[in-house]
Amino acid sequence: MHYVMIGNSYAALGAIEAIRQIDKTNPITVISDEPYPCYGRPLITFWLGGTVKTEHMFYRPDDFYTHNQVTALTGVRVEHVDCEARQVILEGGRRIAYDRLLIATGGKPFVPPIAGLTPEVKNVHTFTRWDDAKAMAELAKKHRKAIVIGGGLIGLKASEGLNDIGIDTTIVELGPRVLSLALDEYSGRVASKRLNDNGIKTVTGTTAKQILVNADNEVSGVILNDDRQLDCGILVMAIGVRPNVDVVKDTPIKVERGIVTDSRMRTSVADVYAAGDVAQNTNLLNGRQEVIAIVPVAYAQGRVAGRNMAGRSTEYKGEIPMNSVEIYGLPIMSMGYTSKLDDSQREETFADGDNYRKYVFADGRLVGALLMGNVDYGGVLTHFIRGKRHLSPMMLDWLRSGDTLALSAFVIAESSRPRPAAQTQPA
Amino acid sequence: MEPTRRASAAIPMEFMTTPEVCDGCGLCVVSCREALHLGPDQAPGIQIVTIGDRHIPIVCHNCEDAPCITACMPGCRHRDEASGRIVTDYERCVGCWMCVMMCPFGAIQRIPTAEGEHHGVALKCDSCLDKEIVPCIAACKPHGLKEVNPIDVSSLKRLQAAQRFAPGGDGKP
Repeated sequence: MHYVMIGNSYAALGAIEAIRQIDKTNPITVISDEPYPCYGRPLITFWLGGTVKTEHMFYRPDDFYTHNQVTALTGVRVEHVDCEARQVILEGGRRIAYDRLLIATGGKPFVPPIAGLTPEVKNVHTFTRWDDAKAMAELAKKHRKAIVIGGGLIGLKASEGLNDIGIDTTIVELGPRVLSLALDEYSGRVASKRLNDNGIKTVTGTTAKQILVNADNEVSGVILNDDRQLDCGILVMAIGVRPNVDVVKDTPIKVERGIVTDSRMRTSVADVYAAGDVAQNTNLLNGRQEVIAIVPVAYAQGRVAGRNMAGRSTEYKGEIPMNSVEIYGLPIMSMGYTSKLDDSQREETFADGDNYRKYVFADGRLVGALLMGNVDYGGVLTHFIRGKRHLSPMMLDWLRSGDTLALSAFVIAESSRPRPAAQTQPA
Repeated sequence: MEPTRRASAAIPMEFMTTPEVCDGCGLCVVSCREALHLGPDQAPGIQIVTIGDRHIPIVCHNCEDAPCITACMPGCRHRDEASGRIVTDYERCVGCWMCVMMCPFGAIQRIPTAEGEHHGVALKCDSCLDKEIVPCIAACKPHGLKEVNPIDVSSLKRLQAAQRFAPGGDGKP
């Protein structure tokens, strides 16, 4: 029995740790095109900004791979998966046979076509890998100005890292506000102000229509849709990330938005599993198959995949979309719907300066929450949203008064055993 | 350096809270705050929620399938093999609050970034494994906080449930 993982981030690590709880002996090979042991991917911002040291970037102790008897092929790109021969084909043609395969290739930045933007233009980067942060640290030695196209989470985090090392940074966001998928007008204004107060400029409602270069083919600025021109020496493209499904192209493995997986994280091909940002599974809010690209989901899916790969039948129940981030001391947490989907849902908002709460209700249940400023005990709300729980009038009162902790007393009183509702259960 | 550990931490033990006997005096909260050197506006590893005349201690449950470990971006939270408790390397915590978002018990506190620090930390009860006497347990006069073997926790919980629903018990949870 040979376990092979393509990808070496949270999902793969979750699978390795699960397999080794069950199967201590059979070989595991993990393959990654990045030349590092598993590292905290979202931490690249802090590494760039100098607030997390290199030795604290690694997700597990130095001896993780040897201790778990894992062969790590790092800095090696997988070309293709040959499902028929049950082999993974590496760049250069080497083939590795698998008995159980996990595809955990994560996401891949999406760069839309823009006039003047060719692969040859220098000093243009995406921001999802440690090497991206390293390249930016290098560029920051020569350049003082950066433009970040895209005001989503990755754009914000790239801006924060650049700003923290003294780069004059401007975010350009097509939507009406930063984090436009999660925030509304009020919370968007608070977030923008926090960024601006800390030195990051924000330009919203427009995007770059042309990239400008100098005589050396280095990026020198952008022209916006409204014909304004902004100068820069560094350009970060942070429009979005899509599931990185390259290795399964031209295979029978079914792909929609991400790789389609069932409740045991199996793909449509026998003995091939997928987990993490590359995989789609059940969104518990709407029952649809969707990609929820966050660390907790990646690890949890990886763990379920690992258990099943090792022969212990285990179900993944799905998850609700959610995220958590802090920008310059302003924490923002969202779970479930962040605004009402239609008139069958109802919103309630509570604003007090930089503290903002929004709840979305449907049919007497909490179906979404946005917390800003005070995010304490947000997990209790996650639990209520995920469980589609009816709220009693008393619970509603606590929710409205912001006493989230009181709700947790109910969670405790109702759990017959001192365990939370596990994300996984034996099938 | 490996901190000294109390003898009981060598075998798997769990905290067990008994809401039925908690009188809400709050001494556990005070002792925890002192032990962890927290400020008056910082929430400690144990809190008490009072609903009507009932007091419910809120503390880490050291979950088997712990969402706070799964959610941790830097990987700073793990299960201590000897004791089975979930412990935290706060030096590596970056204050992303993913664990706060995932803990169904509200047992993890956001401690905002302190002066001179780069990141806030997500604080929870790490069982004071370095202390011979656990401050909150020592402070609990009605003995509602205990450290017991996980096997006993399960049977004690069942016994509690039985007593609650027995005639003369205090009714529904």
